[in-house]
Amino acid sequence: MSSTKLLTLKTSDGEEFKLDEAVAVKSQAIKNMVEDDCVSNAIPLPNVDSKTMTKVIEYWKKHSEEGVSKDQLNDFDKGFLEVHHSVLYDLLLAANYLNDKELVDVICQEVADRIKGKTPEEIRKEFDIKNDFTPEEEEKIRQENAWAFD
Amino acid sequence: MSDFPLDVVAEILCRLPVKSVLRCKCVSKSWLTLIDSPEFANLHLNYSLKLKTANSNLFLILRKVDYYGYGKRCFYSLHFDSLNSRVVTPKELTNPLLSSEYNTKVVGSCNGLLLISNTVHDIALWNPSTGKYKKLPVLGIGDNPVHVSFGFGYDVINDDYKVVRIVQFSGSEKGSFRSDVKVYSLKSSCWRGVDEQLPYFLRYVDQPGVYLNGSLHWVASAKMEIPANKLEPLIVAFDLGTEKWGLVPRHRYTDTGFIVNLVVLGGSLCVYKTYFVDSYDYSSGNVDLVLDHVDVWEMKEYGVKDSWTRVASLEQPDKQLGHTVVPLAYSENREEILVEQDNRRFLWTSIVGDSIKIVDTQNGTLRGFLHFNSYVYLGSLVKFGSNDDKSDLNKQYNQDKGGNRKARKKRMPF
Repeated sequence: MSSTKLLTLKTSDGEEFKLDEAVAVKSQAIKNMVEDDCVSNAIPLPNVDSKTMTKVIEYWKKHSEEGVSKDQLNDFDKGFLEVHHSVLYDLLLAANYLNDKELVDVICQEVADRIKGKTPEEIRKEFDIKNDFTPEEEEKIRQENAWAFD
Repeated sequence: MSDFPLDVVAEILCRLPVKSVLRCKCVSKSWLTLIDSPEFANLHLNYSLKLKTANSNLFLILRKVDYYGYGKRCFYSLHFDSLNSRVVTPKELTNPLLSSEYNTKVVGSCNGLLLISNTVHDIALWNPSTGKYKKLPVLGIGDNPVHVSFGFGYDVINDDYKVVRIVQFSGSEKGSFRSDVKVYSLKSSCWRGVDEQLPYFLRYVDQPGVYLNGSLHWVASAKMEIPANKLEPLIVAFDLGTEKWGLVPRHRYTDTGFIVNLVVLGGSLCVYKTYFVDSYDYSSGNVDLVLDHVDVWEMKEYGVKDSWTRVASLEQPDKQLGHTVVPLAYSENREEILVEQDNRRFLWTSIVGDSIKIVDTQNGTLRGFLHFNSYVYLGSLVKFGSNDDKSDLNKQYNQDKGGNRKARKKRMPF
């Protein structure tokens, strides 16, 4: 008798996803619910929309596949992360909410790589962060760390 | 990203090299508070330490040896990545102990902090990435020591940074010696004595203690005898947590005629043995001792005698000029070792093949460097606690003579 159980996940926009329990427990949050035995009905995920959930499941499935080499996984990850930053951030928030350390790790590295060469202004623009410094305050920080701004 | 929980932002930023992190301080006030927090400094440091040979956060500090008068800028930093580029341009650093009388030395490097000294009384801890520094209180030495050596490292057990100072004196009987060991703890901000005796005599005292895994290491021998190379050099370790001395087993030496030094490469304790040969100089008719080759041995498993493995045998490309070859670090793929040769240039020496790549430091501003010493350090945000030295770097320059021109340029004010 097969021990694979199907779980139903319900996203914020009402869509339902059916997934093998063995795959879904990559999310520590879902794993906890399974262990606490509250998964008889659909698991509500109010913080994740269907578009993002589709991507997460795509990642989980690939990383659960048998016979995939490390190189193939790396290639997959590279392509998987080549998305617009808004998609990336939704993914990161979802991965964080679902508590999937491995996925959070991979996305954080990608975001870090994207930030690396940017100026503070470029970072703010890309991530929609408000500059709450006065020009004097910002200048002071620049002076204190002058070598970093060369 | 404005609604990202700060712990997620921290997870992203801790992966950045220190230069990028410092730029991120300007992004917003919450980012500034996060980056300035000691928790973040630790997160960032631990991430860097996990990547043992990834060099995106590694730097070299060059101490320019200036024969024509001190008081000039002598510290420069070089990022590891730039060693692979065509033009290598080191960045001038502000020396917290700048003085017209001394050419400041580096006597310790751990977790991004350096221990620097002008004299045995004038020493400071310094983070070159943030510019912050902390002078240590002056501590008397005693009369007529044979030598003084320093070491600096992180006490894992007590989450504290410690400076160790070893002073050794001749004893009353011929060939005997006694030692005085003092420890400075950053947490307590004071010096105190260490009870346990150091029963070994340090050799090659111009090499300060080498830090690894919570202990400081020196090359020593059981006796204070000359000539030194007749005695088998031992590796002595000071555990910064327990503050006790011990020996690290070394591989069996089957030959003599070499000088032993310690270095940490790729997260392991290594020994490099410098072999000299006699060389007849036809023009002068003299026989000189010339460096022949350097063997690098790595202790793959700390404390395990059988794990010592010879990883490289480095020969010089032009034997006439050789005096010193100092291994500094592995390349990212561990196939090469970065070496400082003759205090004047860097070489990537291949371990797997025979090739040697000279790092072209003759372009850019290194052309003016006749000689330099180099040390590896990590880019980190580690702080000195709430006891950061708040003295104004500019004021200090105005007090010292010489090298004043740049005092007006507020490069790294406090």
